[in-house]
Amino acid sequence: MPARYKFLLLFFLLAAACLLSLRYGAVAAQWSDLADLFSKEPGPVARAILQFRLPRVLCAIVVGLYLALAGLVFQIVLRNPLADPTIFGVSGGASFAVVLAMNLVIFFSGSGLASGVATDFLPMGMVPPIALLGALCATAAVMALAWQDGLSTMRLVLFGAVVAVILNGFVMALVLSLSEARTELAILWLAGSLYARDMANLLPALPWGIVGIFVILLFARSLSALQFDATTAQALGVRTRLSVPVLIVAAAMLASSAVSVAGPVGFVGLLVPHVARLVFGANLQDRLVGCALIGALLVVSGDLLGRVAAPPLEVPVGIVTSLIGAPVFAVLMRQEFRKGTA
Amino acid sequence: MIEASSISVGYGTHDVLTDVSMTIPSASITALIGPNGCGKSTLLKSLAGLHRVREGEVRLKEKSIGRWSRKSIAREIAFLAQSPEAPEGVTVGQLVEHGGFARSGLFHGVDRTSVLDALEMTGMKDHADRPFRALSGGERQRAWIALTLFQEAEMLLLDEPTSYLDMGHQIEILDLLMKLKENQGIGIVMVLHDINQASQYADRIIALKDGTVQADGTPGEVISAELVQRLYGAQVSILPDPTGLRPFCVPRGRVSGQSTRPVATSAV
Amino acid sequence: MTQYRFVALALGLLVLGSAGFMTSWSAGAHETTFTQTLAYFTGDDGSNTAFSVRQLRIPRSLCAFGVGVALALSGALIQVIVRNPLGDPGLTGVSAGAAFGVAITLTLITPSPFALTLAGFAGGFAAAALTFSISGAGRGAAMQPVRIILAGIAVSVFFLGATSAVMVLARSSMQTLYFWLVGGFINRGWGDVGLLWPVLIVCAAAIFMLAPVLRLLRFDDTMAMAMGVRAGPWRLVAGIFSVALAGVCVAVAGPLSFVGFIAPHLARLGLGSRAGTPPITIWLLTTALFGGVLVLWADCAAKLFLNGRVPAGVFTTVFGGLVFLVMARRGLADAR
Repeated sequence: MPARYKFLLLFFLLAAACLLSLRYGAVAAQWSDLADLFSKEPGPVARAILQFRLPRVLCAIVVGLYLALAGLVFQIVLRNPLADPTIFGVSGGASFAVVLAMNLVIFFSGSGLASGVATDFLPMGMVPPIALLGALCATAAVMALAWQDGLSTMRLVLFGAVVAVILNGFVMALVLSLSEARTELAILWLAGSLYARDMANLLPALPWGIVGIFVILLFARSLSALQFDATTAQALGVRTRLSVPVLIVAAAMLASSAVSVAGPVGFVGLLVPHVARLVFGANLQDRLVGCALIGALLVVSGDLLGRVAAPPLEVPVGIVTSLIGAPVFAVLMRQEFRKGTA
Repeated sequence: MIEASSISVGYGTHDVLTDVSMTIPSASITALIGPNGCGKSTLLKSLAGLHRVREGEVRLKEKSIGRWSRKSIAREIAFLAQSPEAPEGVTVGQLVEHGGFARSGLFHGVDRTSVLDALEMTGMKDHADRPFRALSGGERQRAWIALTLFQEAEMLLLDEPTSYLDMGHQIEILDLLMKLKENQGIGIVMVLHDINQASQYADRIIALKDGTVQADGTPGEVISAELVQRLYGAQVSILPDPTGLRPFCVPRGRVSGQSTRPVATSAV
Repeated sequence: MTQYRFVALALGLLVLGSAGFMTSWSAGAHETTFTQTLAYFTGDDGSNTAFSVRQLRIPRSLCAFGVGVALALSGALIQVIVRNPLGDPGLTGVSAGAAFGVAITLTLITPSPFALTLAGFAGGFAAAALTFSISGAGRGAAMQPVRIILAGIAVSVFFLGATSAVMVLARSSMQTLYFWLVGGFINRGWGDVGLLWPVLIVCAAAIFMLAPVLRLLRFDDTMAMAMGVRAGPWRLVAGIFSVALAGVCVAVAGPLSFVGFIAPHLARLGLGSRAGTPPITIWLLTTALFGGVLVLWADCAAKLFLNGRVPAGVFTTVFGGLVFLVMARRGLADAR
């Protein structure tokens, strides 16, 4: 099947997942209510869908797309098939920075608790850059720790995972000292969730992500060459000293923007690039587009799955993706072990 | 005394040894030789009761080895693996102490002087308090041998004790084993890669190929150009030793393959 | 030499431990002085303070200390069995598996403490088996430290995710959720002491009886067997005790991480390595003391800081994780 048809198929799957996502959830809705969205005067259910579910689905699409692309870039640039923002310190750093900022704001203003219900105590526009700062610091720390005559796959993952665990501990402490009662806040910053996410959360993350994607497209040819080892890439004419750091920062921008919307949604960045390679083969352009589509599809359907499992309760999307992702991670790791790189 | 009577040994469905019989007396040195993968190491492990035999029986002092407890086997047979791993952080003396496990009860203090005796015999007494990790390859091997000596067993089975050592250390280890045979009456079986070392030091050579015994006897009886070609596919000339007991092989070239390039090392 | 260091260390740890117990008994909603606390120890005057000392603080401190000892021994055993300096029930996925077993039993079947403990064992064993098969250990290949930890991380992530899903679907509060994700001692009582300590005492006695065998298990299988110990079955036996300890800890206090990793290392550091490795019994004793004192103080910190809202597990995770990073950075070069 040519790649075009695969894209079309994926696009239809994504559209179907989005429709299902709009249709099912805590509030009972009918297909007719979806049709009602386009009428002149939508009914109350349709308006609820428009107000709550549509932004949520959009958030899911953006988060999945960002994380998948970030994962692809990390895996290629670090030459590490196990690289993923969550097991890599990036998500942990971003969450930690945001939660820390929230705590500081409350500490200095003293009255944040009353004002913050949906805004989570911080001006929304500030969240993505703070997340990015945290992500970059954490990435730098993990790389510095793992560096030993180069970056071995396993060391990087080991140190990344432990740094993530420690940051998780800090996030937990900070969230708990913020408020004991707000479980959804804890779920958001520890597991990754799309609960009550709306356009106010999404919009500030868009410019950062778009810049990141733009940079990746600009460097797509270098990225393609970097699939070989660094020396070969250099021989092919890639300025690795420029393109490698630039690509890492771009990927961190994408990942931290995703975290700023939905918290650390796990394993999307790990899983999707591997699926994309299975589906699209070696061509990098196809894989980039494929990653975006599959990533969005994964997060939208993960979120849907979490919501329909036992309504009105919902399993956070981050937990759903972790449950799917951890076994795949284990399988990939076995392959690495067989290769003997550990 | 260890006896193997027509044993067959395998991993999974694949037989590594078929119908092998032999008797290993004490106070002698037996060398097992043969090409890579011929089953030497497996045979050595089977003789020490470390590998289950599929058919036939290994007997230790007239009693089937399967009916001995692990601990009582360890009192009779000491075994040294090819590249054993030491626990983190031990000193040479501490390493050797572990050899005393089989002789001691559950709660038992270690007799420091006999540890030192074992180290003395291998010339490692001055190194007793050094960390094992800091030793050179030859010193490590001697420390391991001291551990097996501390086991105070009658039989000593060694898997390639001279591999990865330089020539000086190889000779050192082999001379030590020779002394152990003569002074302590220990029966030694070892896997050797170097056919000339086997000829120099062994009282008896057993040649294996494809899991069966090809030749068994004194070096003078066993080593011939014909045997070396059969085992390794290598062409050698035999220089007779003046005594006629310990012949010496000189490699000439490989005959089984296309290449007639001379082989650098002797008959490996 | 080692003996003197051990005595000094043990005395130091006992003093630290006693201070920890006193802090734990005095701090809380009703502040009490040192002498008052001791008085409540023998006599109950019916006051609220007496109640909180006798029924809340004392059992809680005993739980914390006991869990520390148990986790430290469990970690030390894992380090011996898999010949791996990075062993820890948390890092190998055992704790997460146990947490999942306990959580699912608690929400779906029964809250009976015995059922919970059994569920903890079962979950722990399942996770241990998974970790080992993923790491490819036991197929003749040497058990490589980094591989086991990485496999353990995957198993851990999976079971913690599953645990959170179970808890979310059971509408548990944030405290409960955190308890099952990091572990802590909030609201632990005499019932938990009765669950933990018998298992701990039995396992600890068994471990010290096994000490001569454990010494040989630090060698590879072939050499251990050649010296008189059937390595495979004994590793399994020791593994059962290790998982049993980790399982009961999880049933009592949730999946506390890193205690089992750092306590044995602190003991090694404290006993010094100039004279080689310390005798295994002395090492195990010191490890147990370090573990107990560590978790006791982690729980004191949990009571004293951040309004008492943060469970002890957060403190052990952060402290232990940092120690792990330092140790792994120093030691991994040759340990892999």
